[in-house]
Amino acid sequence: ITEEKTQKHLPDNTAFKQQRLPAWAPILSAKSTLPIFFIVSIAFVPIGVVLLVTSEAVVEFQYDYTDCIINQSSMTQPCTCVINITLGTSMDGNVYAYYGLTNFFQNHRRYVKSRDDNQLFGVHVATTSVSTSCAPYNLFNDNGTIRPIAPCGAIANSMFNDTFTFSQGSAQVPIVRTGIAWPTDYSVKFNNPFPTNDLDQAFSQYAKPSNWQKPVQSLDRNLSTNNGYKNEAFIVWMRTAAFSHFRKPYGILNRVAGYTNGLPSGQYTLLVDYNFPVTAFGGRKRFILSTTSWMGGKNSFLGVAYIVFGGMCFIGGILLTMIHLHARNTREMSLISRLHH
Amino acid sequence: FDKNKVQTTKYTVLSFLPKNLFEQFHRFANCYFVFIVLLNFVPQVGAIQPFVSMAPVIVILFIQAVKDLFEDYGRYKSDVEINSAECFVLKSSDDKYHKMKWSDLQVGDIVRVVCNSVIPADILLLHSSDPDGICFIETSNLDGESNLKQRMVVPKHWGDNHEFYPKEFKSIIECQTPNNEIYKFHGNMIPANGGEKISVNNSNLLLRGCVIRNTDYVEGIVLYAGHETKAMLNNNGPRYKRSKLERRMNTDVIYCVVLLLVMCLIGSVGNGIWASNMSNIEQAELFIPNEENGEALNPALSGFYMFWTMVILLQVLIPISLYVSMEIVKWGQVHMINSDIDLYHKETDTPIRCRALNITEDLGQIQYVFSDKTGTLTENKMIFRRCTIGGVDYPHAANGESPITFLLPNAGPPRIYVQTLFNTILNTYNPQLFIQPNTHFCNQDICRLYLCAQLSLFCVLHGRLLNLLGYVRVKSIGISLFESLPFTPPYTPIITLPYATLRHVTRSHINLHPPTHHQVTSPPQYPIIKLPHPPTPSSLYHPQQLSTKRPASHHRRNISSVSAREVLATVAQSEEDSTAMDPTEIETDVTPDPVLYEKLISTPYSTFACNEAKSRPLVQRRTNHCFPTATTRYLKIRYEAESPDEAALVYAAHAYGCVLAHRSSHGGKESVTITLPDGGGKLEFEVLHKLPFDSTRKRMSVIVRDPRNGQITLYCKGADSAILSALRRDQQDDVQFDIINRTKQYLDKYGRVGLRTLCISKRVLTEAEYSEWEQLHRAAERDLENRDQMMINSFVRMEDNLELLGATGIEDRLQDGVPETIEALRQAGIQVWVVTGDKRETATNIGRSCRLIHQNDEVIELITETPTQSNMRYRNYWTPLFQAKTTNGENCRKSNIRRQFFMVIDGRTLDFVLGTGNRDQPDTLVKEIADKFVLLARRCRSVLCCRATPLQKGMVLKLIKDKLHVMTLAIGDGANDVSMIQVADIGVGLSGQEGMQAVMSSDYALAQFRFLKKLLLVHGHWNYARLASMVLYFFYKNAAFVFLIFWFQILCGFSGGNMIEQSYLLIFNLIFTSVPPLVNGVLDKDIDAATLLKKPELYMQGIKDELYLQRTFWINMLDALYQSLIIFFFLYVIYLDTEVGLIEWGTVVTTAAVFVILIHLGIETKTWTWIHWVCQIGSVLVFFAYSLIYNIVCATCLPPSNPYFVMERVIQTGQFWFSILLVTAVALFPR
Repeated sequence: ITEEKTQKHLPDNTAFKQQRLPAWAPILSAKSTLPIFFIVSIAFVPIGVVLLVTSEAVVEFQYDYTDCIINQSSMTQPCTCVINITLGTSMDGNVYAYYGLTNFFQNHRRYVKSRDDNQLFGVHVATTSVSTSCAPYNLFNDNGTIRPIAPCGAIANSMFNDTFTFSQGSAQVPIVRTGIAWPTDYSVKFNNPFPTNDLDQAFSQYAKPSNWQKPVQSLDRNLSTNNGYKNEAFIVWMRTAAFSHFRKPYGILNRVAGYTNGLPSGQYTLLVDYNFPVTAFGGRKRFILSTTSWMGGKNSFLGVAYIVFGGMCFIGGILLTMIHLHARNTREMSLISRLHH
Repeated sequence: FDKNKVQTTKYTVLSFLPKNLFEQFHRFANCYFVFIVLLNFVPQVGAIQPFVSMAPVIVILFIQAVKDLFEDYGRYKSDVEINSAECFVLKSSDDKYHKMKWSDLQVGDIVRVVCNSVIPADILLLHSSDPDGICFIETSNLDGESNLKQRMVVPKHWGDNHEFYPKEFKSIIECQTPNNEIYKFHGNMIPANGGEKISVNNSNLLLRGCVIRNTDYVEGIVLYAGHETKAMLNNNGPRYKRSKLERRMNTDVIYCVVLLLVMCLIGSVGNGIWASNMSNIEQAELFIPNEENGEALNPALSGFYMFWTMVILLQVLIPISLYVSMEIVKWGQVHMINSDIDLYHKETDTPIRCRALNITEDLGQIQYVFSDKTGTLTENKMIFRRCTIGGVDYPHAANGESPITFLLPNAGPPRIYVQTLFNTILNTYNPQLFIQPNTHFCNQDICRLYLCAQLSLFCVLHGRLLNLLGYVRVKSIGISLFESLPFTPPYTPIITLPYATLRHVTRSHINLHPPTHHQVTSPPQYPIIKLPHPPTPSSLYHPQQLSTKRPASHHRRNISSVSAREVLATVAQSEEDSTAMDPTEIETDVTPDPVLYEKLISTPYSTFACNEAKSRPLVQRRTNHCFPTATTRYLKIRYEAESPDEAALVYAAHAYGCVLAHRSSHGGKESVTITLPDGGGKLEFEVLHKLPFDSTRKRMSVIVRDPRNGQITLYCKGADSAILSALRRDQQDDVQFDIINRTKQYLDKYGRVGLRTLCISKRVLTEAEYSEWEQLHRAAERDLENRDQMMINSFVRMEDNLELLGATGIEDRLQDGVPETIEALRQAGIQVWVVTGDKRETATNIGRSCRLIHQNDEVIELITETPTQSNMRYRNYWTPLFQAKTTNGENCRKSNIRRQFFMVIDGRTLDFVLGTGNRDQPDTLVKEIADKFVLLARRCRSVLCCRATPLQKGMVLKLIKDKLHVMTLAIGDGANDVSMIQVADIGVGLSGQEGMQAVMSSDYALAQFRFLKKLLLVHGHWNYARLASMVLYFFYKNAAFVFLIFWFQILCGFSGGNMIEQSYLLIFNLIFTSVPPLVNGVLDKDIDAATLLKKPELYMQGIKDELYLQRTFWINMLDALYQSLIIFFFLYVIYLDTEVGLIEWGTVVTTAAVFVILIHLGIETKTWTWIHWVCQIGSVLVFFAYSLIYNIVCATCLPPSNPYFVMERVIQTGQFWFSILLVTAVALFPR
């Protein structure tokens, strides 16, 4: 009792408080670092090979059609050009059609923020409540009556509006323009305003974006459900790209009769409704056909990087082992651990 | 007037929010945050949703507010406790004192405060239970001085009537408006009946917070209450110390700011160029939205906006969270230090206490330790060791250790016969006797006997000489009887002194004294005379009775080693005694020759008397009764003394049977009663005057009237220099001269073995002399203008022409582990300085014994005697370094210069160094000397400053700190170390014997000096290493993250675009990567404790700042640069020309960054405990959990990034995982 009484300030003798917790103290010595080199190289090289093979398996076809009409002036005046395409290899499996843009800064800050997610969510916005982040593409002065633009903002306004008609001989290759947007975007983020069954009425109070040829409710003439904000091409466009050199899905090959295994090799014709101006800002645009793998599109960098890094580790490991063996005679391991830490 | 309620809390429930916010916005960090937030509200600039950007600010403000709230709640609780304390207040209705809460006290109330209770407000003392109208207060709560101070009742305010009737008290009191000057108070009291104004001053005022001591109760009127009390007005907040690491860190923060500005500038210029390129292009508005008016933005303006946008985006580079994190980490470190069981002192039940929270890492960077000696290196448990009386040395074996006897080889034949005698005895006996422990008892006893006898020779009671004669006779018989003792070792030399010789000797000695002394040789009231025969020859014949002396001496030991703290008068026999002695033995033991345990030497007596109100048995005083003489020897008395030396003296006297029994003061006369042992009776000395101690005089005196012959004598005790300089100068007396000479030699020897010395002297005054002086003194007291100076002059006048009686040597033992600690600190590269008030010899000796000075060290002594225009001849020591002008008046001893030096400098010489000694000393000279001193001191292994005043201690430290820019630590235990402790970077207080002042002003409070070793070498090192790595890590982490965003600007046209989702951007630091570094900051151990203690050299890392250099900072930044480049451009190449969305890619980048940054820390972590694992893995999991949940719950929030379902999609792709793996591996590989 007296012990307790006299030592009431005695600190708790616990491992934590006395800083005596069992601890693992990795000491970087040659013995522990050298194996790491080899383990890394052994792990990385095979991964790299696998990735490279996967990437090589992806068949990709690109065609830059920017210059097919040189004196194209604006988005609103359509014209067409015809491009002949030869597919050297067949494209098996799902085939995606992309359009690729270069030097188009979809990641520009002021561009990125020029949208109204609420509006796209299906909320009716009044003239007064349309998001200011869309400015100056938020309101449209229609002969004195000011109407909000639907969809507002620079992103929507600059929506890519070239259309591709891809055909093999006289038969059109069935490329559907649905299934390209993220399912969650389609089902949750993008909703048409009320009444959803009558889009003309739903959008009656809005003005179309100034660069658009058609209002939002009639983006897809072929498929009535693919209209309004729930147009998948629109949704894809609205997901701004990370870099100024990007591609976006245009459509998916519908694997019906004749195309069940993908796109066979051969001669194809691409008819482009050339609307989207890129030469003005020094951009390029491409038409891309590609299959995909579990690793996404064709990209050999990852595989190569794995192999190179693994290889470097291996070489480094061997070098260090030699140095280590040499140094052991003279200065033990201190050199190694210092070299590497 | 306010009530006495005290509120120290900063906030009330209502005012908390606004006030706390206000306080917080005073901090730079928070202002920066708010600035950023506000910037976000500017539409052209805003990079992040303004409301989102507020989140971290709010979180940080919230954390700080909670912390403040806790602190404030603590204050609130103590307030409540204080406010609800009770006191007795007079109610006018029934004229009785009622209990009342402190908070209800009002100005004008009459209160009664009883003994040992705290004074509730500033009270004017009107009445005291003490018939003389005085009371004692302890002011340690206020100024830290633990001695008691006397306060007086307002004189004559109740007229001639000595009773105090509170009800009739109707006076008007005029006083100053409340101020914070503790020692100043003036006022007037105008009695209601129109009497004369009575002036009241500080001596009538009892201050809040003081404690009433030794007075049954006091009554007074409240003058200041609550916040107006002087105590509250003096209550300042704690000091804020900024650690060295923090200072360095701040410079690096500035680098970060510069870096940030550079990056922003690059961004802004880049934006301008990019925008101007684009403005030439017609369709640029496709992705550069125009302004609202439809115009394209001017490139210059755009660039300007861009700058601010970049500031917002890259704000994280300035590690604001670092400040919060550091506070948390330091708090954790302090907690760890506090709970270290190795720093816990069992005996006193004191753990270490960290009082300063923000300088834990400074402990790892100390370069200079300034240590006090007394109580710090030593235990400050004073033990009376030996004394020299009349030129003869007497050892006192308090702890059963063999005392060393000093022989004066060159002393020549002593002139006093008595001395010859005693010396003969001692010298002949000692060499052999002291060797064998089993002969101790006789030896000790003999020594003690002679000591006592000799003490009585010069003690107050000159009349005792006759008794001495009797005593010596008895003893001489006893000595001769040793021969017949059966167990006496054969080699014990026997000296048989002829009785006649002795008699002759004593007589002749008596004859030396003036005849007046003889007249009082046998006054009847002295009981001693009647019994000159006990320790009767018969008892001494018996061996076993002789052996009873041994337990008895044990017993005495016990008494003398009782610590001088609280009053305790219990009849308690030590266990040892009760078992060792049977009643008869006790009987024999308590009846030795009274002379044997004769009268208190003048030492304790004067000590006692001088320390008015400082050393006294308190209980006795309160209860007004004395110990029964017969039992005195079995009482453990605890004396309370101002300094342990004095207590030691009183205890020593007690051990010899002279007991300080009672102190009293009746009717303005103070007296001291001393109980003589065993029916020796009591003597009551009238204390006429007390000349208290002050540091200029370095001595204190008391003037007493001997009750037996009415002689007035001044006894003066003080530092040897102080006494020796005041001795009688017309020294014709050979005897005196001889005494002085021998005493000086002994003093020197005492000093060499590390004893603290005090000289004791006396001066016999004639009535005429006394009354003359008294008159002058009264006049001095009355003088209002320069009273202090006059008083000192008066004291000095009195303390002159002294006659040296002797000196005492008191041992102050080294604390446990001191040499080892000093040795370890040395090896750790820390210079240890000892700064002490002790004399040089003593200090040097302690220095040797605690291995401060090594055997072969060269000791440089800087001791200059003549202060005026003396420049120090450092040249002598360091000719190549100092081409100084040679000056005179200096007394340095030069020796051959070898490698190791040890410098000793004394207070007076320090004065020249510091420029405090002489006002005429020109500043340039001071500077020159100081520079040289510092240069020299640097070259020394160690420096010892002796005879330093408290102020000098602080100034020396400051000098070193300023000149060398080093980290200093001061350690001390007493009030005299406070200045040093406060000046030092780290002040360590030892909770020792001398009160709490040092502790109160310190940053760390330890119980023992030896704890310093672990505190510095282990905790200091750890905390420094931890904090250094944490700070660097924070810089790295933030930089790496910010670089990622910066690189992105190249890709997005310097538009301030941001791929990382806003909330990640903001909470990345706050949540994802915050906990592991904090855990590391508290728990990581780069080297384990045992190694650190074994190899103090490891501490050098901290001294040399090795872990946190400018270089390391930049290396870390480069690391951040490299890693960010790898992360960014690898992922860029991987994801180029894919359909990846902005935020999608940003999420990949963020994930990679989280992995890289966390694993980076993992590599930095030296020891992994389960806590580390939990935090590391937990952080990753938290990141994923957060992003997954956040990405799923909200489809429209946080435009424009709106990361709905991004993470969910991303983690489904193989590309993501393989990219992360690759990037992490490559980014971290160099490490």
